[in-house]
Amino acid sequence: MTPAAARRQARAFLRKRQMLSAAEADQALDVAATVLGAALDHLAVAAAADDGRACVEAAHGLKGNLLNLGLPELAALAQDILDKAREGSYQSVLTGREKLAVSLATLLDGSGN
Amino acid sequence: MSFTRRPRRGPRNPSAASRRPGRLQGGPSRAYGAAEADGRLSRLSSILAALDQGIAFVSPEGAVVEINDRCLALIGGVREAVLGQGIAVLDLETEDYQASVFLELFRRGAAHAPVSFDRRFGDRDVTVKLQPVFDAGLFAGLIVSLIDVTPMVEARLSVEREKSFLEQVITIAGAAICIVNRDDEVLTINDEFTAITGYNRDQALGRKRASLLRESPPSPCPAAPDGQAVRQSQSRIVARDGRRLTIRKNAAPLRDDQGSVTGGIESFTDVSDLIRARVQAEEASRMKSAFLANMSHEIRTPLNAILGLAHLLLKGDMPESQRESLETMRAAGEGLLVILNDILDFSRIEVGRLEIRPAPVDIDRLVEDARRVMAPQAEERGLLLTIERDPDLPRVLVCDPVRLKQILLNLLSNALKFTERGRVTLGVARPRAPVSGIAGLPVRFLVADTGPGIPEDMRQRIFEPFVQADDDVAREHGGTGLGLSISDRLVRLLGGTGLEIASQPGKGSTFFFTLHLAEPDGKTAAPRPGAPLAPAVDLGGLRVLVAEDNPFNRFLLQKILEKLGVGRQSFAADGQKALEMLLASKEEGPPYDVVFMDLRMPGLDGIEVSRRARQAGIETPIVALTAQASAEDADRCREAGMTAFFAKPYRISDLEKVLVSLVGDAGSSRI
Repeated sequence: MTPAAARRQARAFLRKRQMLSAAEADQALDVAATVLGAALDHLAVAAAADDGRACVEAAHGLKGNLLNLGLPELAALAQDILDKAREGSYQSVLTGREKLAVSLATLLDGSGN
Repeated sequence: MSFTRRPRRGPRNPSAASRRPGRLQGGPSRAYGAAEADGRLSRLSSILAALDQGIAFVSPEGAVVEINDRCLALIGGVREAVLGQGIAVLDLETEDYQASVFLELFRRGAAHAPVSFDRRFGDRDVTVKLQPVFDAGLFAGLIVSLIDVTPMVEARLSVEREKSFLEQVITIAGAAICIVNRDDEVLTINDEFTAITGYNRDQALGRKRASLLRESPPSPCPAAPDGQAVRQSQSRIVARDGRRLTIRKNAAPLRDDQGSVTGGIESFTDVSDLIRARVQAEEASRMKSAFLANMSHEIRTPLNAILGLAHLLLKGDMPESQRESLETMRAAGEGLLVILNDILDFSRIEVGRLEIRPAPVDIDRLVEDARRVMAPQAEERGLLLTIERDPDLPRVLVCDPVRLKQILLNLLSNALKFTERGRVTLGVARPRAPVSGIAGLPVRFLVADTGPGIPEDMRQRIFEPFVQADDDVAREHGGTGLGLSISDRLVRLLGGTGLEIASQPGKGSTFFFTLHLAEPDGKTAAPRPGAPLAPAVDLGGLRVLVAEDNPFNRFLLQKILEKLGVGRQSFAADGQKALEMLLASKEEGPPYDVVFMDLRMPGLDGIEVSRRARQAGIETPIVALTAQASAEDADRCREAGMTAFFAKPYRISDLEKVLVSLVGDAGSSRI
């Protein structure tokens, strides 16, 4: 999924499924950008510190947010990260995190409005 | 016809006879000659003959010497047989008056004044007058005049009969009657008036009506004319013994034959007992409804917990036999929930507490939602469920979406329940023969099935509460028999004339109703396509706590709850804070109606918060929020006392269902 497609899909999901207005959807995406960005940062820090518990917490949060954004493919990626974190494969965690960050780039930088 | 005289044998006293006043034999003046006297005699004879009054002259000796035709007609005699006969031939003897006696009195000079009395001749009523004639103090004869008063007597008797009839009517009337004059003074009352007020005739007649009855609010004198022929009112009066009575009365002026008001009449009944009974019945009905509502709520709360837990358990692994038992338990619980909802709705309609809330409704979306809800049932029974919509109808119209959907779902549910094979159609169209003169666009909603049909004799009865087509139906399909009754009443509350039915035994039934719906005006925004319909239950009174540490999830839940109309929302960003808020609400109130609890939170997680809340005696439904609906999570949730399980992503429709099923009654009861 391209970064732009992820943002479009998330916005469409919020509009159609959650019945948010355009302004509310944009506002939700802004909140999501902040929250996802922070979670990705936490994940990076936790993985670098080999902190499995913190990795799981961060990945779990990401998964929930991505599900609520209507991005099940990316949520599945977050689940992979979570599984890797449980296994202690922190390099894989970082790799997965990078994939996720790329896919979410448009959403995270708030562009595409 | 002439007034003839019997030939006289000559006067006994000619000089005296010449001085008789009014003598028919000539005038007193010498200026008149014999011819003139004869002419005068002839004229007077003609006048007497023409009189409508019977006249006879009786000589001092008592013989009838003159009589006119009218007199003969009245006594039924003939001249030849009467003239020269004694006064008895005139038949003027009554029990009280005997003419012969008066004649004797006049003759003896014992009486001089004329005498009158009544006598009946055949079918005629006659007033008899005996006028003695004296000449120089001597009795000179008796003029007998008979006046036919039959018409007057008839008129008097007619009035008396009418009066008697009215008196009878007034006497036996089941209402108190009071007739007053134009000064509002009591002229007549009847026995019922005495029975109700305690005032008898002696105490009431002549008194002012207003001061007698001390009416509150005071009413104008019934004699006061106004635009209405009869004024109807309800008021309170004070009886003679001091009791305060509520009366319902009619009052009207009384008029004479010229149309002038002569007085007034009022009739009233004592409705004190009726009013008291009605108040008691209404109070009993209110108590019954309150009891039903409370009981329904009290039963529904644990029932919802049972259903939630059954749902939760069904997600886990278990032997097939246990799963079947659990499914049966869940199905029975859901059936019970439907019955409770029916009873609650019915009791609300009965006491007029069911409020209709019109709003712009996307009709397409509403019927599609209804179809979608019923589609699994149709599929399960192998039936085709279709929508037929008139494309010319506007998409958005103003109606109460919750109640309209409730009616359609009820009709669809019935149709699917009773149809073994074929199809069920939900239709929306313009009626073929719309009723003119009613504002709004006529829209006919119908649900047609290919079921067994309904016998003619049942078609009206099935709209009565607690009635089903037959006992077999009740045994086979269950239910309260309230669904159609509720739907019928809801249609009326929405402005329709009620549910109608067309049915052919063996071929199917069509239930339909027509509503006159307005299109949204410029001030009312029509819902956007895709915008959420109003929830099936008003959630405005709900108090919801969301325990969620993730700001985005929290934000999203807030928006969804706002859109569902949840009135009061509180948020906790971690488990500890959530527990504190729950405990505080328990101690200080008001309690939360539902809690959405994220399972993973820093510090105390959702499981632990729920466990501690239950230990503290908090019974508020707690819905778990989790990113994955695993059996393990389900077990942990159940063990911690959580009520239901909600997996991400959150969808507004799913959240609505959860809220309605958990606390729908609580929400709507706060309306």
